[in-house]
Amino acid sequence: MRKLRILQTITIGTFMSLIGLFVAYRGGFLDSLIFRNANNLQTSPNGAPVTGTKTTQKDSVNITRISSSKSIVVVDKNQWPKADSVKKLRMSSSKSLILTERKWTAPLKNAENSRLSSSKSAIIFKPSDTAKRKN
Amino acid sequence: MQEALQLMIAAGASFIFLSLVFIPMEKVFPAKKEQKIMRKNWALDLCYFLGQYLLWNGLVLIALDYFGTWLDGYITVGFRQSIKSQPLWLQAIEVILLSDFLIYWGHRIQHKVEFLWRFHKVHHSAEHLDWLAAHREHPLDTIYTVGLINLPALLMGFHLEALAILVAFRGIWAIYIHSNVRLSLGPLKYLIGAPELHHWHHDIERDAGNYANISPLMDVIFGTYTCPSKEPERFGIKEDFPKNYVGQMVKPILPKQIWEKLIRKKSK
Repeated sequence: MRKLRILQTITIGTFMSLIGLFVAYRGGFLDSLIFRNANNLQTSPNGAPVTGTKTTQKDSVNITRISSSKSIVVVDKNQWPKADSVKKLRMSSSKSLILTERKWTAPLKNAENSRLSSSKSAIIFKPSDTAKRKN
Repeated sequence: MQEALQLMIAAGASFIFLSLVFIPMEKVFPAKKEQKIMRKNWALDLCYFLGQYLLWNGLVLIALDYFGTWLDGYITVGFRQSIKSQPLWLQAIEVILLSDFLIYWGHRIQHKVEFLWRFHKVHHSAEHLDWLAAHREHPLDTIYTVGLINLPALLMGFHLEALAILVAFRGIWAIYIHSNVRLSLGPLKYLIGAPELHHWHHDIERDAGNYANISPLMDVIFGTYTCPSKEPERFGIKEDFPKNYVGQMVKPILPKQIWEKLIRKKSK
């Protein structure tokens, strides 16, 4: 009986930890851990980042943390597409040439990160997650 | 080629992660003790899982993106400005409550209207519930559900990134409520839902109740909340329905006569 209790406690603990980890990952709280190595490799002798792409990721994540004064704001507005750019994207999509004009990856990436999933299931890891780690 | 590889890695990683999260729970707190992990139709649900990751998710997101773009043309700047002038927390509450309201009624209608039920019954055709069975869903049913659930945010121009934690939690909890787990959450079940509630939604009776999305709040308000102390005896649907992936994908989109013709041809 005692063994069963211990097993149940461990199972619930693991379950809650994994869900907590996943939610934290999706919320961007683990980004600094995940990107830390990649960014270290990209620093110049004086410690400054060498190339744009990777540092932008790190900087923007840091800005997100600092600027979000409310606990539920986990992604800084600056990371979202500017109103103008969204308008341009949206307006161009109403043309028939849309599929050849714009990259499919852009709307997909935006949509992936900003949509509620189905009430039955959700996509847990997306191709962008694997791409993120490779960058 | 690289994108295809990334898709496969993502699907594999998700499968492993979800197995690690849910299988121990299903073993230690089983709702149906006799149900094995590799139960009947496990492979069929794996097809749905892979289909969702490798094929349909992209289609759903594209459809949703175009729906959002189309909606943008009808929403006035003044309306969006008035929404934006509200505090963020108020916008968030409005989006969540409206989403729950819409998906509750949207889901209830799916069980009533024959045209919608023909797609939705794919999900209900599962005779064994577990975390993998949660993925059994027709892509057109997914578009309908995802469209409805995101409609308030699209209308209001609300960026759900601001609720990333909640969005992620709801996503994984939607899988959990299908898992073969019976573990009382106490009063918390009224806030975030529980497998014991959703299992009753999958009862063999088509109008068994519990239509709400995750939180049973709407069911309590509209009188469809049900939570007997035992598990339902049988899951699934009473209707005759194909038992394979292709059949379940194709039947809902074909007119009845054409489907019957196809079946007759096949049996000859």
